[in-house]
Parts: sequence; C-alpha cells; structure tokens
Amino acid sequence: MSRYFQDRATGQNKKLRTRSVLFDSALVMFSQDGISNTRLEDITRHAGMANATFYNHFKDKDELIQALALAMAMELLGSIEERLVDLIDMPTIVVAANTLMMNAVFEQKSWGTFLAQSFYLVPPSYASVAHSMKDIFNVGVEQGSFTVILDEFQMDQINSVVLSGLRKLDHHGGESLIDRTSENILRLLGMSAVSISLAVDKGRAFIR
Amino acid sequence: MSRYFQDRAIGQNKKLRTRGLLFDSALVIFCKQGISNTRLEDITQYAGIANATFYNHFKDKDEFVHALAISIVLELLKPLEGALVEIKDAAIRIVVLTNVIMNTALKQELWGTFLAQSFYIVPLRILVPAGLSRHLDASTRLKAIIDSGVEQGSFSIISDRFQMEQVSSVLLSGLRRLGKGDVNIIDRTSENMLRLLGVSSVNARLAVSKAQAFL
Repeated sequence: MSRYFQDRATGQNKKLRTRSVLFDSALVMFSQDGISNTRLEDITRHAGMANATFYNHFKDKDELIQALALAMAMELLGSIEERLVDLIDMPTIVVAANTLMMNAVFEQKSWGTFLAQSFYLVPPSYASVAHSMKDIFNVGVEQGSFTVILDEFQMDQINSVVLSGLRKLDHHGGESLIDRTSENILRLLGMSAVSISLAVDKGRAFIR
Repeated sequence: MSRYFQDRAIGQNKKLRTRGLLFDSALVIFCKQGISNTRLEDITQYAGIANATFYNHFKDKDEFVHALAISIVLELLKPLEGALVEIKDAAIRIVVLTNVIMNTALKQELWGTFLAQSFYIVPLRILVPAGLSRHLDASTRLKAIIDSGVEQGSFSIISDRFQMEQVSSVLLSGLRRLGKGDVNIIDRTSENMLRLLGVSSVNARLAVSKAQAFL
C-alpha cells in the first residue's frame, strides 16, 4: 500500500492521521475491486479499524470518495501553480499545467483511474478547482487564444477529456498520451491545429 | 418508475420479463442514490423480488451494470438503423449519430445519468458485446465513421483507441448533462466531437447546420 496520505499526515492531529489511513486503504481497495464493488467494511478491515470509526469521519462511501478526490486535486494543483508563475501565454500554460498534472498522477499509480471513476460516480467536490481552471481559461478567451463559450457545459466537456486521458495513463503511460490529451483540451478551447502544435512544443520546452 | 424494459419484455419468456423488471427498478435506484452506494438488496426490494432471484440472472452488481448498459446502448442505436445510409460526408455522419443517440436518450431521462456513471465502471469494450453483429455495435460503427473521415481528408487525427475514448467521453459528458438546461447541448456536443477529430471550429459548425437536412 502506498502511504502517500499517511506520510503527509505525520505529525498532524489524530483526526487527520485517521483520515489519511482511510484514504490510503480506500485507494488500495478501489483499485483492486473497483469503486462500486467496494464496501465500507472492506476499507475499514484493510485499514484495521472499526466501522464506527469510519462514521466519525464520513457519512457514507460517497462522502469518502468526494473527500479523497478533493485531497488529490489539491495535492496535484498545489505543486503545479508555483511552477507556472513565469508563463504568460495561456495555451502554453494549459499544456504545461496538464503535463505536470498528468506526470504527477502517473507517479501515483491508481490515482488516474480513481479520479476518472469518481468524477462520474459522485458529483465532484472540487468545484473550487474547477473554478480556478475556468479563470485560467477565461484569460485565454480575453487574450483571443481561445474562441469558445466557456460555460459549465464546455468545462464539463473539457474535464471529461482530461479524465479519460488520466484513466488511459494508468494503463499505458507515456509522453505521447499526455501531449495528445493537451492537444485535445486545446481543440475543445477552439484553437487551430497549427497554434495547438506550437503551444504543445512551447509547453514541453518550458517543463524541460 | 418508467416501464421501458418491462414493456419491451411483454409476451417474452419469464426470464426476460424478470430482467426487464430488474432493469427498470435499478435505473430508479441508481439515479437516486448513485451506482456506488446502491446495494443489490435496494434493487430487489424495490422490484419486489427475492435476492436469490437476482442471482439466477446476474453474478454481481458489475455484471448487472454491464448488462443494463449494453441494453441501453442497443436501444440508443436502434433508431440509427438506416439513418446514415445516404450520408457520405463523415463529419455530417458524426452529427447525425450524435443527434440520434442524444435525442433518444432525452426521452428517457435516467439513461444519460446512468450511462455516464457506468462508463468508468464498465470498460469501453462493453460497447462491443460478444455475439452482436459487428454492424450493430457502437464502437465499431464510430470507428468506421472516423476512419472514413480520415480517408476523406476531413479528420486530421490519429484514429486509434485513445482518440476514440476521448471522443466517446465527450459524448457521455453531453449525455450526462441532458435535461440540465444547457442551451443547444446536442449541437455543441457534436461540435466538440468534431473538434476532437481535428475539424476546425468553422467547419464543425458548418457540418452541424448541413446535418439538419438529414434530421
């Protein structure tokens, strides 16, 4: 079992440490049995705690799924934001951010599948994340790089492409898959083929 | 509860009638509390049948979700029979396919939600159920259209499983949002699918308006 969340909770209070054990255990069970086939008891047994302890933290499985997805999204974004402060060109930022994010997910086996599954099973809890994404894209619209209407619907379409990419990543991995996901995001933002390949090159160059 | 699958099983044998009842019941429960939070007992209780009866038909919840997803996809594709025969332009075929599928789903309000939820539980290959005619299944059909578009020179992409899944995910995201009050949702989903196939925004919009003649 990866101790990702437990490692981050070291030295924190008891509540956060217990949550982190539940997060790590849940990920193991979810990737082994699938989210829908996993019962709460499977998770608590793997975590070595009583069912009652689970209910001190979460109402039900869906609430755990939401909390876990949010925790992952925060981990992913936190590491990305500071690396992009020097960039101005929006398409390049989108490529760089997507590449960093997908690389980070790839390092944590099973995050991609979980994020993709949970997005469709449970309404995402990371509305704040989606909002900051939308803010970034809107700057691109103002700059004239993106030519689409950026409403909730279009954001959902873009999200679904990112998540489909994340899911494939768990099975295959590889730079080309990450670049192709970036290309598809930019396509949904209304960019032309020429501008897209330029942006992908620039985004890649920045990360290296 | 919609009696969609029960209605289609009228006059069929007992086995199919029970499946019809389980399908209709499950859709209600799944959409109310989510696939992941639903236990088999919730479904059988709602359907008014014994748990043991469920296991005469399905091994577990995943197998059941598979079966329901396949049945719905088949129903969505039925109206497509013949609809694409006269259309040569691959971009227009994509728009017509999307319209037919989404309009059919629109009449059954729970289908879109269920399909989107089940998409990441059930692998994409369920769209190619074993024993089904190759012409009937969704992914072979979508692939054929995409390949012809690449040949015609209107789609400038690599036509492989990855791109197929990206395009499918956009269609499912559209299905999930049906009935949520977005404007022009079907046209916008078609446009986004075409964008992912390498069609420019202008040409995507053109294909959507040309397709009206066939709808």
